[in-house]
Amino acid sequence: MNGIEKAVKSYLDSQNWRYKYDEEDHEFSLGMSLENNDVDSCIIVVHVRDDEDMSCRAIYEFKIPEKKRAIISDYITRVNYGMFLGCFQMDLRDGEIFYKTSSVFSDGAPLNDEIRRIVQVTIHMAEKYGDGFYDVMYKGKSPAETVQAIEADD
Amino acid sequence: MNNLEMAIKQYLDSQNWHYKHDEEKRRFVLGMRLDNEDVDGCTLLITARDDEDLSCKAIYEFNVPEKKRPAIVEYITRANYGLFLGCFQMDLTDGEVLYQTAGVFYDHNPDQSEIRRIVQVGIHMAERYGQGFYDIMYKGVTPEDAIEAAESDVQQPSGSAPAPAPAPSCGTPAPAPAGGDDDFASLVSEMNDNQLRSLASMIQQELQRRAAPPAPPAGKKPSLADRFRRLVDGGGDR
Repeated sequence: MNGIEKAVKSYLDSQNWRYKYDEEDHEFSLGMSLENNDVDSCIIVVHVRDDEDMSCRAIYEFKIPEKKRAIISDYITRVNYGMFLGCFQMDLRDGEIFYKTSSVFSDGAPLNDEIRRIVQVTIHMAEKYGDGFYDVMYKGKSPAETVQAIEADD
Repeated sequence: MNNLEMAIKQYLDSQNWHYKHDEEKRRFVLGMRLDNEDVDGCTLLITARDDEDLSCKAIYEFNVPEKKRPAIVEYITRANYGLFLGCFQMDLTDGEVLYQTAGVFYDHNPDQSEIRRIVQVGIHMAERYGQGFYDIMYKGVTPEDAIEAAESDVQQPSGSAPAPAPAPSCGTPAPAPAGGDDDFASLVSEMNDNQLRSLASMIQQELQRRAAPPAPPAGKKPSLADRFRRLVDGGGDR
């Protein structure tokens, strides 16, 4: 384990979270519940690329049906505008959707606060906008009004 | 100026770039040339949000017309997938498009390599995908084709925007080098030991071939470039 992996492990252990660690891929993965009506969970994957780079993805457990990918592209474009740390990404080939944050640490192991922020922002964003995907795909709501409703609650 | 602003200033000065510093908004603004046919410039906005957060936005000089926004939404969705640091953003109310990178620095002053990476990735991505916006809006190119063009032709920026190492997309094999020592060095650094041994063997064979007289043709064989591409794509050297 390199310095970043140890810092990630230390953070996850401090939260008493159960996770799997893949030594070959340098990845930690765990399930996470989200406080939503419809989109109530995701998979968190923390990937350490090398001694300097780390990413955290919150991958939803559903895929976007092909007919809905255009409208969900509109939704995530509206959500992503103005985001400071991370963004939603969608694979248009299969509809996989996730929120991703990343950071670079060129001077040794990151602090616990840095890991915490990256992971918590990822979880928070996946939760905040999660039900919006469902509302747009299955409840006939427009992306604009969905984002407006979510962000009005802030 | 806080420490983060001073570090940004130090980096910009080291590049001999002209910029304006807005002390109240804690941001640095400068124009940047991009090495593209049509989308050849952007504005860089580097902001120290507080003592810990830095954002760098490369804002294009055009706004996307309303009728073109759905196609551009698809384009940036495709572009963003797999990116490691930063992403494209579009304001759907007015069509502004930008690439944003960000960094958080708790309890330490960011060193110059961190600032450099955040800024250079922003410039590089704005340049790499910039032409695609124009091609979609005004030349009838589809978003899919525009992405393919942007990702198959890694261009080196002009002298006013030195090229950083491009961020590879997740899950895609490293492409054969488009040219340039930096591309090749980056590709070699990503190879595993077996690939490196195969590459060394191929190079040795090529050197021997060049030293020996030409052999008569013996049926169609894959070119060295084809063998190299297969090696990089993970198919091995067959």
